Amino acid sequence: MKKFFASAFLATAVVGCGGEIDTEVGQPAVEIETEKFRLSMKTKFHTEGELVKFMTASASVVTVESEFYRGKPWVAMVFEPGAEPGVDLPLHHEWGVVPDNLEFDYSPDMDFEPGAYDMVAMIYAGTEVTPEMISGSVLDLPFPANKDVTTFTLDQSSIKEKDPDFAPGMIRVNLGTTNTGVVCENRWSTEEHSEEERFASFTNTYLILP
Amino acid sequence: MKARLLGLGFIAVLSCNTETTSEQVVTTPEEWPIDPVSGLRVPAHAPLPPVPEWADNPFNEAKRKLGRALFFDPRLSSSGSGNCPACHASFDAFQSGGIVDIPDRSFPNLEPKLTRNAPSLLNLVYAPVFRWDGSHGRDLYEQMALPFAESNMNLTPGIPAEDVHHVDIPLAQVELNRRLTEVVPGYIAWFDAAFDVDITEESLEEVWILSGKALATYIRGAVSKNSAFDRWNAGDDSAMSEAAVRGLKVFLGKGRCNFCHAGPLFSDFLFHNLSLSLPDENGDRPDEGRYGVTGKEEDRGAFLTPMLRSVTQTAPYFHDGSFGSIRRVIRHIVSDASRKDPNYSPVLDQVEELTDEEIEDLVQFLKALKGEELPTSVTSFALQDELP
Repeated sequence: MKKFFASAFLATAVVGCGGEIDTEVGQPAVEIETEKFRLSMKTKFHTEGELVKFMTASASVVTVESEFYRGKPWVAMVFEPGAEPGVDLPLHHEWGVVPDNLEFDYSPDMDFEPGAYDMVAMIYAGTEVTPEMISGSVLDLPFPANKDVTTFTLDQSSIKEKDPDFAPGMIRVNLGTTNTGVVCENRWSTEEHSEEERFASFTNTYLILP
Repeated sequence: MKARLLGLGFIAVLSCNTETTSEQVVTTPEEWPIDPVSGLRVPAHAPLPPVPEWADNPFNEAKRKLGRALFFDPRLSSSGSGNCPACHASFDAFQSGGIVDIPDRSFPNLEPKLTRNAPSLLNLVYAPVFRWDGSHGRDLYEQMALPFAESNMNLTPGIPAEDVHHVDIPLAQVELNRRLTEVVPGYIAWFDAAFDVDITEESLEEVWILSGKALATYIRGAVSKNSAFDRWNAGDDSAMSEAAVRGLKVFLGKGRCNFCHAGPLFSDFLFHNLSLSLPDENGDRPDEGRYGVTGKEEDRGAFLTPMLRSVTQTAPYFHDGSFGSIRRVIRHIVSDASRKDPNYSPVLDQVEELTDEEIEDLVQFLKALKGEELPTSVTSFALQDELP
C-alpha cells in the first residue's frame, strides 16, 4: 500500500546509508508522518419550481417532483481508487436524509493521505431502504432503481497516470496537499446544446435510474 | 458461419465438464503443479484463444470502424438519442449499470422498462448462444442487428411504447435502410469501404446482415482476457493473492462453480434454474426463461449461465438484475434459496455451503478474472466527430 511508502522508504534509507543501528539499544526506525487531509462531496440539486430534472444513461431528461427526494435516505462512500461497487468495501460511508433544500454535504470524519480516491453517493427515493439495511453492510444494499439517483461522470481527465480507472458511478477525487472536495449537481442537456455542453452535463452529475 | 462455428469448437471442447467431479480437479492448496502439456495449472480454464477468423466476414479496419459507428450513432435510433452504449456502455464492461434499462421506444419516459438485465457484450464473439433465454438463434450477425427491430433502438415506426416486446424485423429493415442511405447518406461510402458494396443496390435483408457483420466486427475488440488468473494459471505466482488462490480452490471444490461456469469462458452455455423466478400458486413464473423458446417443461425458470470473466465489473446480476452484490449471488447459490423452485437444476444439489471466509476468498478469485483494460473503452461524445 502506498500509504506507507514514505515511512518505509525512509526506514530503508536509514539502514542503507551505512549508519549502524545499535540493535541492542533498540533504537526505533525514523518514521515520517505523512500529512493527511479531508475529502468532501457536496450535492446540490437545482430545481424549477417544485420540479427537479435528471438525465438518464441514454441522455433523456426526466422531470420529477422535488418532494419525491425530500426526506429520503442518501448514502455516500469513499473507496480506494479503482474499487468495484458491490464488491469492494468502502474506506468510509455515511447515511443522511435529503433536506428540504435538496443540498447536503458528505464530509467523512477521517483524514486521508494524498492520492486518488473514488467517491459515490446515492439517494434511495424509490427503493425502500430499511433500518436493517442502513445498519448492515453496504455490500448488501439494494441496487438503485425506481427513480433513485446516483452520482456519475464521464470525465476521465481526473485519472492520473498509473492510477486505475474508476468504475461508472464513481467520482475520482485526487487529494493533494489540501482538503479537497467535489460538487455534484443534477445537470442536463438536450440536442440543442453543443457537444461540449452535452459532455459537461455528464460530468460530476447525478443520473436517474429506471 | 461455418468458420465461426469451427473456431468455437475449441471453446466447446474445453467446456465439456459434465463428468468432472470435485476430486478430479482439486489439488492441495499448497501445490498447483503446472501441467507439462498445456503449460497451465488449471488446463480446464485456459486463456482465451485469439478471436477466430470468420470466413464469411473477414476482418478489415474499415469494417471495424463502420461497426463502431453503427454501435455509437444515435441517429440510428427512433428518438435520435439512443444507441447501443445506452445499455452496453463500452466504458462499463459493455453492459448497463442499471437493473433494467429503458428502451428507446419509451423515450423520453422512464416507462415501460425492459424486463431483463442487459448482459455484458464482453467475449460475446466466442459465445455459441446468446441472451438469457438463448432466443433469436445462434447467428452473431443477426443478433447484433436485432436491437434495431426491438424496442431497444425502435426502428419500427408506429409501435406503441406499451408494446415493449414487439419485434418487427422487416419493418426495421426498411427504416434502417432509409437511415443509412437517406438520413445519413455518408454511410453509403462507409459500407463501400468495408464490404465493397453499394448498399443502395442491395436488398433490405442484405443491408441488415451487413450491418450485423460490421457490428460483430467492432465487438471483436470487446474481449476480457489476460486476467490476473490467466497469468497465475500460466505460472506467475505473484499474479494472484493467496486469498484468490484459496478462492480458486473453493471455485473448483466445495462451491462446484466450475460445474456450470466451465471452460475458458467460465460458462457451459447451458440453461439452469437457480430459483430466481419462482412460480406463484398457479405455477406461473414472472419470467419463464428458456421455456419461452423451447416449450419444454424442464426449461421453466432456467436462464443461460453467464460468462464470468470480468464478472465483478458487471453488477447487477442475474436475468433481472435483482442481485447487486456478488457476495449475495454466491450466498444465494450455495444456500437452500437456490433450490426453492420445484424445477431447480439438479446440479445445485452438489453445491456445499460456504463459510464467510470461503465466500470472501471466492470473491477475491472472481476479482482476479478481471481482464486488461480495453482500448475500446470510449464514450459516445468522444466519437461524435468520427461518425459519417
